[in-house]
Amino acid sequence: MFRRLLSLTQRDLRLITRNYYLAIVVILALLYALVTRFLIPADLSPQPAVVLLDSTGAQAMRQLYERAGGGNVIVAGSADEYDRHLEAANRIGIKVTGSVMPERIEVTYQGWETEKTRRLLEASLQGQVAALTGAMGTAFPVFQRTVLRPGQVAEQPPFNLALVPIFIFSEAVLMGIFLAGALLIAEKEDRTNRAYQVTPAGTAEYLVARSLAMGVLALVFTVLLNLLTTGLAGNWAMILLLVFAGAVVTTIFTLIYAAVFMNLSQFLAGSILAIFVLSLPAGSYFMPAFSPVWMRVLPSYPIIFGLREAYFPSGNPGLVTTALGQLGITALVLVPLAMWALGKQLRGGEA
Amino acid sequence: MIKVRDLYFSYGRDKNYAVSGVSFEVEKGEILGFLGPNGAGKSTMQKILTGLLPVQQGEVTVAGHDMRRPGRDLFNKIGVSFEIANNYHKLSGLENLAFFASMYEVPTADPMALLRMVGLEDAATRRAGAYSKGMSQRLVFARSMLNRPTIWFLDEPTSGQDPAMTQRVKEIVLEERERGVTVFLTTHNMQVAEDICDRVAFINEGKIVDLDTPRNLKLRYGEQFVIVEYRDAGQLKKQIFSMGADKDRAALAALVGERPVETIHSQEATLEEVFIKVTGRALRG
Ligand SMILES: Nc1ncnc2c1ncn2[C@@H]1O[C@H](COP(=O)(O)OP(=O)(O)OP(=O)(O)O)[C@@H](O)[C@H]1O
Ligand SMILES: [Mg+2]
Repeated sequence: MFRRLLSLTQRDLRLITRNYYLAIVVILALLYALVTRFLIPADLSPQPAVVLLDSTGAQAMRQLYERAGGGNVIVAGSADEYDRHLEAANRIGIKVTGSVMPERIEVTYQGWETEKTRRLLEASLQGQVAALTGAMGTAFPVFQRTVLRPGQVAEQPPFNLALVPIFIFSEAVLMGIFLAGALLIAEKEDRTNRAYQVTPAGTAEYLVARSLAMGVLALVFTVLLNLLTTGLAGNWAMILLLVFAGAVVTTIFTLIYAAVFMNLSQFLAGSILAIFVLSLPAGSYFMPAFSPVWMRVLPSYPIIFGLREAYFPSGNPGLVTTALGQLGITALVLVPLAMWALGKQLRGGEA
Repeated sequence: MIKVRDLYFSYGRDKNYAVSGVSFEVEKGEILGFLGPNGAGKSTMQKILTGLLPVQQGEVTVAGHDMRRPGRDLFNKIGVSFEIANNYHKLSGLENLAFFASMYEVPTADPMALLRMVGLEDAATRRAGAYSKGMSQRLVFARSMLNRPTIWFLDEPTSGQDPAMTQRVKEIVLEERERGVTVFLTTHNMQVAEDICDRVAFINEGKIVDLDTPRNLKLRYGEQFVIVEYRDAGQLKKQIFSMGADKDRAALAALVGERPVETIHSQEATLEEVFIKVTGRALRG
C-alpha cells in the first residue's frame, strides 16, 4: 500500500516535470514576483489633505505651512471649522495649542491609514516642530495621537504585497484545475488508465497520490513567490497548510468534473467557467462590503480570506481555521464522488 | 480457468450486441486462440474477461472470480496485453515497467530481464513516447508478464512485429504454457494460431461459429489437395486434385497408373482457408 502510494506519487511528479508543469509553475512564480516587486505600486491610496488648526499666540505653525504653500493643507479658522473639515474621509487633522509657541500637538487620524503612513507623517511633523522650537529656544511640545474610527478598516499591508494571497490563490490553488485535468485527459487519450485498471491497485491510492503531487506543485509556487515577495512575513505554517489543503481539494474537484468531459477542448471550456466562478470571491477581498451569501458558500471564499489572515495576521486566526475546516468538509463531501468519477475514468470511460 | 456462459454485451445497452450468446471454457495450461474478422467482438470479449467492461448478461468466471464482482486480487493473477499500445509516453520503458511492477502484491519479474526478453534492452532508458509502433507493442507485451500471471490475455501480441519477433513471441507463449499458464490469445495471424493454439474459436458478429483444435477444424472445413508432377511426352507437367471430389480421386488414380510420376505432394488445408469458409470473409479484407 505504502510502496504503491510512493510509486504513484513518483509517477505523477515525473509526469508533472516532464510535461513542463513544474517549469511553468516556477516561471509563473518568478513573473508574479517581478510584477509584485517592481510593477505594482506599494501605495495606491490618494494623498490625504492635512487640516491645520493653530491656536497658539505666535501662529508659527500656520506661517510655516502657509509659507510652504502646500495645496494639500487646509487651514481652519476655528475649532468648529476644524471638526467640520475632518468629517471628510481623507483628511488628517493637526491641532496645535499653546500660549505663544506650540505646547501640545494633537494629530487626528481617520482610522484607515497604515501605521507606516502615520509614522512618516509624525516624523516629518516632529522635524518641522523641532526646527521651530530649536530656533525659538522653547521646549519641545507634547505629541498626542487621536484615531477617529479605530479598527474601522484593519491595518492595510502595502498594496503590492496585499496581492500576494490573491496570486497564491489563483496560481497555487486554482491552477490545479488545469494541470490535474490535463493529466487526467492525457491518460484517457493514451489509454494508460486501462493499463492501471488491470492491476490490483485501486482508485483510492490513485486519488491520494495525485492530490499529494498537485499539493507539492502548489507548495513549490508558494514558497518561491513568498521568498521573493513577502519574505518571512506571515504565518508560514498556516500559509503552506492552507495552500496544500486548497490544492488537494481543487484536485479532487477537478477529478470529478473532468470525468464529465470527453476531450481536452470541452474540458478547457468547462475549466474557464469553473475558474471564473471560483475567482469571484477575490472581489470581496478588495471590497469587503461586497460578500453576498452565495459567494461565501463557494469553497474559494474561505481560502482567500484564510490566506489573507495567514499572510497579514489581524488577530483573527479563526479565519484560517474556518478555511481549513471548510476545506475539510468540502473534501469529505467530494471524495466519494471523486472515487466514483475516477473509477469510471480509469475503466476508460466506457459503459 | 475461464468459464463463459451465455454472455451478451452491447455498448449501447440496446439490441446491437458486440458479443451475443457466447459460451466457452478454457482449461488450465491451455492456449485458446480467438480468431475472427475486424469488429467481430474479440477485443470486447477480452475486455469483459479482464474486468474493463461489465458483465451485462450471462456468467463469466476467471480463475474462480465471478466477473460481476471480481475483487482487486484477481489482478494479481492475470496479465493483460492490449491491442493498442498504452504506455506512459513521458516515462522510459524501464520506468513504465518499474511503475507497474510496484502496483502488484505478488512477487514480480525483473523489469530489465523482461525488456531483454523482448529485445528492448537498448531502448530501456528512452522515453516510451519515442518508441516505434512495434517497440511500443513489445513493451505492452512485456508489461503483461510482470506479475508472472497464471492467466494471460493477449490481444494481437504479434501485430506490427517483424518475423523474428513474431517467432520470439510464439516461443515465449509456449514456454509460459509449459509453466501451466492459461492463455487467451486474440490474433489475426493464422500461422501463429495454427502453430501454438491448443484450440481456436472462430468468432463472427459477436457469435462463436466454431471452436475446436486446429487439426479438427482443418479436417472439418479444409480441403486436402494432392499436387502431382509427371512427364508427358518428355515435358514436366503439374496437376492438382481435390481429395474431396470423387471425380478428382478417380483421375488421380488413373494418372498414377498411366504416367511416370516424379513427385506427389499432399497439400493440407490451412487455418486461413478455414477462417474464410467459417466467417464468410477474407482476411484483411
Ligand atoms: N467503445 C466502443 N463503443 C461502441 N462500440 C464499440 C466500442 N468498441 C467496439 N465497438 C463495436 O463493437 C464491435 C466489436 O468490436 P471489437 O473491438 O471487439 O472487435 P475486434 O474483434 O477486436 O476487431 P479487430 O480485429 O478490428 O480488433 C464492433 O462493431 C465495434 O464497432
Ligand atoms: Mg480487437
